[in-house]
Amino acid sequence: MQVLLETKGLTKQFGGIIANKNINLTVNKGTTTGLIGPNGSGKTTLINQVSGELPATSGRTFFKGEDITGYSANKIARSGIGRTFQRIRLFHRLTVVENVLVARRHFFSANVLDIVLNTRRNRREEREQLEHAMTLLQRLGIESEAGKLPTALPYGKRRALEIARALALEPELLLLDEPAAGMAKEEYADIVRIMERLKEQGITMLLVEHTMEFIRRVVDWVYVLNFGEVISQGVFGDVEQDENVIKAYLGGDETL
Amino acid sequence: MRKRLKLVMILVFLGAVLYYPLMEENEYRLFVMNRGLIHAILASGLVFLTGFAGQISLGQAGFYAIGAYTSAILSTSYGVPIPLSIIVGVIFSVVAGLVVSVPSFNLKAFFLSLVTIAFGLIVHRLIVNLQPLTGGTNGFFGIPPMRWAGSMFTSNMHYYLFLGILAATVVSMYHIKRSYLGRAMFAINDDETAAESCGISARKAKVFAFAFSGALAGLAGALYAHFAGFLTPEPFVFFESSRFVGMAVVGGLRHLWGGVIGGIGLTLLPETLRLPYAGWENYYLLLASTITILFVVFLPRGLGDLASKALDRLWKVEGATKTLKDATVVDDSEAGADDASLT
Repeated sequence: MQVLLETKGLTKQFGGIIANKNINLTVNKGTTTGLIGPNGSGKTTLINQVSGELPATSGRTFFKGEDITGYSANKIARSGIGRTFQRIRLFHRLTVVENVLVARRHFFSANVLDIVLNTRRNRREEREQLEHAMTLLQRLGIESEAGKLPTALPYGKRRALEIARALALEPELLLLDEPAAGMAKEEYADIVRIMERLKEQGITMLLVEHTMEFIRRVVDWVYVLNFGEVISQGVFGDVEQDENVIKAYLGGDETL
Repeated sequence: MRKRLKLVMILVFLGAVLYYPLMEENEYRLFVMNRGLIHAILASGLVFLTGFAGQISLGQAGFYAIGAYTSAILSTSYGVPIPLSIIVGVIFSVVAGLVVSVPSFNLKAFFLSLVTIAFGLIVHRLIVNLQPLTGGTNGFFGIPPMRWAGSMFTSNMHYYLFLGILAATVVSMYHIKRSYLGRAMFAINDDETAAESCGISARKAKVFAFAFSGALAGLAGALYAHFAGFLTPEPFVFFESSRFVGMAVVGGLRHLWGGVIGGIGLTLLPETLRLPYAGWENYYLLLASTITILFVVFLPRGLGDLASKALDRLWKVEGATKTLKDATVVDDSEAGADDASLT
């Protein structure tokens, strides 16, 4: 199995507070890896460190064997890591399809002069990328919303749009921060279907999630964090029996 | 039928704009209109910087001054041909824009505006103090006027030149707005973190926005230098910078035509209020400023937004279907004639 992402001793300290400590994590190509743990255990911090939004205090991150520690967030995105956010972040002044097009930026080769003069090359690229973006919207079942502003979309579709935008980068790794959080029942079913389709397409994912049912259904390997440290890892069936994990979650001996 | 109405209105508008200097008998009014066109070029740059990319500049007079003095000094003291001196003026302003963009990497709104104010003040002090080069407070005189076939530009020729440059500016901005560059500007304005996650470098986007708005301000300044024939430090004080921002806001910060409407409108407004009543001369500027404030308070989206909404209603195009059409038929830009609502 080929290693796609690897962190070595990743640590993040905010002043005196240690958000996560010495995290060694491996994500294999084509698999879906879950990050679980109680609130404040450092899951989102880890996602933000990998995506470059937060610089690591120490430790290193390797992606496709390349050391990407300290790269800017936009460079990491371009190198093939797409992400969504815990609280959905969309561009509210751009239409749905334009939101997706933003992430197609580096598939354009037209220069400023092409744009200002609106040359044939610029028009052709705009057309091609628009088609590509529409295909993505279709894959996520929101192509009929293309011309609307994101604020006009229900919550579930906003999440789908955020995933479409991340996929527009043609990433090899997708980071999803609580993709199923706050979903109504039908929306939840939709997002599970989306995840299963992405898995079929062989997209590697690293996701944070609190819904255990969701983890059970889509995840191949789980890391459990508590107080910024990995306390357990394995397939979900084993991890949910782990006493340390049960204690961390429930502070007692009940099962998950 | 609607389409024909639209076409007729656009033709009437174009005709009026082109015919205006021919029927204007008052040379002073034409002079003010020409200054309005120059301000419109500059204010369009501010619309781009602030409305599109979300960055603030209260030092735009600094870029304006750099363009003006560079072109004036090169053409007057070194005999550089005017088109070339204007281009060099623009390049210098772009370089200044690149420098000023650096603080914007980390500073936001209030703090960034302080930095840009400081930039404007520095440029102003340099003009005052570098007397051998700029003439200081005594002014810089004898700037060669633009010429066509050996004779000096008339007011009408200035008008058409400035109008052409302004039109090119608006068309350029229109195309940028609909390109990946424009989307990147809007994206960093809405949410920098999300934009970065899409592979957009917020820094590069800001550098581009400052360079572009600096270029337009420098171009406006260089045109002004040869149009006016002399320069003093006065039009380049902080007050002017804030007036430029006022133009962009009144016209509509997020509107493609905002700079045009605000630039021309706020240049003409005080002159229009200058009615020949006894003692009134002391108050017309006060009234002009009051009107500006009222616009900002009660019409924060600007006149451009109001106008385009009114036009939309006239065409009876429903907002939703229009945006859908806009979004899915991006390639429709060849049909440039239906650009009355370039929002």
